[in-house]
Amino acid sequence: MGDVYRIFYIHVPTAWNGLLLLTAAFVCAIMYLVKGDLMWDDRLEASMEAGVVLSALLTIQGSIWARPTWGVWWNWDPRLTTTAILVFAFAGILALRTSLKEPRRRAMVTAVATIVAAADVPLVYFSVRFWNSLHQIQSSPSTVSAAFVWPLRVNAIAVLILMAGLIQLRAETVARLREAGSEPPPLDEPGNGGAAQ
Amino acid sequence: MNGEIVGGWEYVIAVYIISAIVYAGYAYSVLRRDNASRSAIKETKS
Repeated sequence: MGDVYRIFYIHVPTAWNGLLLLTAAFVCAIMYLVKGDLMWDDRLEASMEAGVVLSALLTIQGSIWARPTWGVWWNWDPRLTTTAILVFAFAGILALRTSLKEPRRRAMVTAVATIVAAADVPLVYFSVRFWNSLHQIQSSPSTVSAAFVWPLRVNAIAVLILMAGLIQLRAETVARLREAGSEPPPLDEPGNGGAAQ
Repeated sequence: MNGEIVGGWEYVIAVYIISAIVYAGYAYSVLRRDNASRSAIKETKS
């Protein structure tokens, strides 16, 4: 493939972690429906937000990689199409949350919508096997050259540690705002670091 | 013609720069919103 193969070392860890975080959101949705504890809704929002960021970044990385290898920025290939659906579905759920003010109703609607949207996660992963695809098969230690395995693992673990820390912090923020019964403060408010007066 | 793509470093550099911006930008966003929520609640209590 030439030098452009180096995109692989950031693209694949982003993909692994993006799908992992959205799976974590799915688990949080199930846990909320089973336990009814709003703590799981806080974690769901944090995981989903991070998962959407990584999935959107994944799509951008893939588009840039597609240009020199496939000759186009975008193709309605099964892997690309299911990934685009994933990004829009979960971003839509995050947008939906902002319109629901009552915490219990918001958590219930989010949990149900997350379980429905999560059906696309395995479709993204297995799309390259289910259908004819321009995209190569899933990259895993068993399908890539031995020289690629450790750099991939190191990058994937680094991204996972970063995102785990950010999700923990974001979940604490969401819980704090919920317990205070307040809306997220506008970030552009002067005076107190962006908080509402 | 052996199927190898010649060049392409501009695509590699673009992907790594965009990825760094997105990761750093998201981390900054989370930290800023956390700080803003702490300040807002502190203001409400005082």
